[in-house]
Parts: sequence; structure tokens; C-alpha cells
Amino acid sequence: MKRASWPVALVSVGVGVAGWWLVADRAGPLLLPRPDAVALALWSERTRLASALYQTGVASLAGLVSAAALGVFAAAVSWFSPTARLSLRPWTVLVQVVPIVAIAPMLVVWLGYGRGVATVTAAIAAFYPVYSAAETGLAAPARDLVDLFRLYGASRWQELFRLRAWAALPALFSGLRTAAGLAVIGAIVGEFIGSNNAPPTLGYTVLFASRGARADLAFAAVIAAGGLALALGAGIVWLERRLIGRWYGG
Amino acid sequence: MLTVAGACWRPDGASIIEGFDLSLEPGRVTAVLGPSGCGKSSLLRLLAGVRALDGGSITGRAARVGFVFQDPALLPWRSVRQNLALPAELGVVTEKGAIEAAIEAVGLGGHADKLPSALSGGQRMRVSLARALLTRPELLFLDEPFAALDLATRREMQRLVLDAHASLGCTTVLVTHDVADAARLADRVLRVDGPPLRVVADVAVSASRPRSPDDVATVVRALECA
Ligand SMILES: Nc1ncnc2c1ncn2[C@@H]1O[C@H](COP(=O)(O)OP(=O)(O)OP(=O)(O)O)[C@@H](O)[C@H]1O
Ligand SMILES: [Mg+2]
Repeated sequence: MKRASWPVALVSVGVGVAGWWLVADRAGPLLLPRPDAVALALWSERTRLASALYQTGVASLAGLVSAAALGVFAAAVSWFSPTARLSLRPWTVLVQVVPIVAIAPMLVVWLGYGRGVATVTAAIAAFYPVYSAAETGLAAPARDLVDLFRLYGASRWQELFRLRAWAALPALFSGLRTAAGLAVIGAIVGEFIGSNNAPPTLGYTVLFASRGARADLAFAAVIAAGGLALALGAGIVWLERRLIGRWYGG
Repeated sequence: MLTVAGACWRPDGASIIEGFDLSLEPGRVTAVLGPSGCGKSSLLRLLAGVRALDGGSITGRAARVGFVFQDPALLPWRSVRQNLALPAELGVVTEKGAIEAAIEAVGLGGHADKLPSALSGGQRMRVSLARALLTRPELLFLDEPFAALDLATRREMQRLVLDAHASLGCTTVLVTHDVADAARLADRVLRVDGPPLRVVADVAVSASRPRSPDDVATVVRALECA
């Protein structure tokens, strides 16, 4: 965020919280907890939330990293061989459209309760944006640059590693930023079905708090999940600046 | 002799080049003048062998080919020096010390470690020229290398090209929109139109280089009548 834009964002959040407060006062704590109640829950349940945040964070990150590795690999293979691209298409589309909630129960059967399910659902949610961004990115170099490599008789590998992989980075990072948020959502949906209270997870906490009329705790967990997605996104932006900020867009 | 016989190129079915014939004598500078989109860059790509023909043949290509593309075609993540190291990394033989010499030759001595984004348009074009000359080409293709440059830089670049041509004796093809540049630099000027690409006028220029303003004016007149 630019320096000039954060006061506006702050005012907007302030107005939102004030509105929330007003509505919550009328709705009552079972339907909508007041911001101060959520803040209190964030504090009093901090041990539980921190441990849940850790579990969900690890699952999201592991899912995101696996999705990134698989997505980049699949995109590279697609670039090498049009046949591979065509054979991969139905599967990448499948991964894109499959409802995670629908396959999570099967994952529990295969993997048992625990972080495995959330990691896999996070990876499924994050895969397509990474794959699609990497595929676009590999096709990004200007025609003259490709011709330059042909002129010097570069091999396909040289073209991939010395030209296309680099040229793909800006698109890849924008795909990763989208994928980071989706990985957290995927992990939480996976946890709705594939985790229990040992150890606690954000997904399970939301579910159990809502059922137990602890709307304040559910909201606190949602806020923690939002913070997690923001942190992952910020991590990717940091990496992007370190790796390509020097030559891209500067 | 670089000879094009009945060359055809039809990307996506569009007839950009159809039954095109051309012979280029070794060691000469040929300028190609023509309207935008008529197929000049396409011709250079075919001559350089970076695109495959859909018909006809091109014979007499050299082993070492230099190409200055219409945009400077530098890798933005590499410094000037690293950009110049690319040909060698890709297995093109360059002489030891050639990179430093090329950087000096185009007057970028203080800029070797800068990224392309930190250079002006003219400086980028010089890097591109330096890279093309690095491999001591027998065939040199220049695609509107002076188009985006101010007059002084333009003259400076043209001097560099003529010097390189004189020392390497390379067969050179220069695409340009500027009649005066063509008249100043070339031994032969082709006026083309298209697509499909065709030669409208083929004018030989005999005056020796460097040419006086009078020489240039005479050639320009001849070209405009042709
Ligand atoms: N790879 C390609 N696929 C399809 N069409 C192409 C391709 N390359 C060039 N063309 C078309 O061929 C025509 C000639 O293009 P080219 O770049 O050779 O023109 P040019 O004479 O160099 O023009 P300019 O002076 O604007 O650079 C254009 O209509 C262009 O759209
Ligand atoms: Mg062109």
C-alpha cells in the first residue's frame, strides 16, 4: 500500500468497525458479537488461537509451496510438449472446478484426521492460479528475444532456463499472490472436515465455536485466518521484491 | 553470396512473403526502405534463419550472424556485461576480452554493470549493437537501429556501424524508414512494398563513404524518382 493511501484505509476500517458495533448492539451476541467481545476472545483464547493459527499456517504454506512446485513443473512440461499440454488440460480443469468440500471426506478416508487433509485441500485450491500464471509467463518473452536465442542456436533447455523462466517470474508472482489467499481458504475448508481439536485448527475452531454459540470466538478465528492470508501475501510480495524488484517495474 | 530464391513465408496463412528473389553481394551494405508492415522485419528474420521458410530457399548464409532487433532485445534482468555474455553462454565462440572491448567500442565504459532499465534508449541500442558485433559477424542485420535516437546519437551509431563494417567486411542489411540514412550508408538501396513483400526499386550507390551532403542529396533524389 502506498503511503498516501493508508489513512483512507484506516478511516474505512474505522467506519466499518463502528457500523459493526451499532448493528451488533441491536442483534445481540449470539447473532453478531460486538467488536470488543471479539477482541476479548482474541485475548482470552490466545493460546488456543495461536496453536490453531500455527496448524493452519503450516498447512496453508505447505499446500501453497506444493502447488507452486507442481504448477511450475506442469507449466514447464506443457511448454516443452504440446501433447503434454493437451493431456494435462482435463486434469488442470478438474483441479480447478472440483469442490474441495466434496473431496475432503475422501481425503479423510485416505489420510486420516490431521494436517494432511488441509495441506492437500490448500494445494488443490492454490494449484490452478499458479499453473495458469506460469503458463502465461512462459509465453511472455517478446518475439525479438526468442529470435535472439534462435539466432545463437540456443537449445530448448537454454531457452527455458535463461529466457522463459526469468521472463515468467512477474506473472508467476501475481499468480502466487492470488494462490496465497486461496491456499488459506482451502486449508480452512479442509479443516472443517478433516481436523478435530487435537491439535486445534482455525477451521475446526470456527466450526466448533459457531455450533457452541461462541460467535465471539468464531469471529476471532476468522480474523486470525484473515491475518494469515495477509501475512502469506506479504511474504510473497517481499520475495517478489527481493527476486525481481531490481529489474521489473522499477 | 547470400541468395534468396522463390522464398515464401505465410504465418497463420497470411502471405507476408511470396516468391521473393534477392541476391546480396558479400561485403556490401544494402538498405531496405519501405512502409510499415510491408514485411521488412520478416525478411530479415528469414535471412538470418531464425524463422523457417514455407517455400523456396536461402543459400550462402554465414556461420556468424549478428542481428540488431527493432527493439533492443536485452534481457532486463541482466546487466550490460551479462547481456553481452549471453552469446558465449549459448555456445557462440567469442574472443577473450571481446566483451570489455565491445563495451568500450560503443562508449558504455561506465555503464557495464547497469541494468537495461537504467539506460537511455540510445544506450540500450548501443548495447544491442555491441552484442551483434561481439561475435565478429560475417552477416549483419540491422532492423531500424536508429529509429528512436536523437540526431547526435544517430550519427554516432552510424559511425559505429560503418566502422564495424569496414573492419569486419561483413555483408550488411539495414532496414530503415529514413531515405537520407539509406543514402548515407548503403551501397545499394532497395525500396520495397507489401505484403506480400516486393522490390519496387533497386538503386546502386557508388559514391564512397563517408558521403558529403551533396552526395547524399543526389542519392536521395535518385531514390525519390525511382
Ligand atoms: N509471426 C507472425 N505471425 C503472423 N503475422 C506476422 C508475424 N510476423 C509478422 N507478421 C505480419 O507480417 C506483416 C509484416 O510484418 P513486419 O514486422 O515484417 O513488418 P515491417 O515491414 O518490419 O514493419 P515495421 O516498419 O512497422 O517494423 C505484418 O502485417 C505483421 O502483422
Ligand atoms: Mg519491422
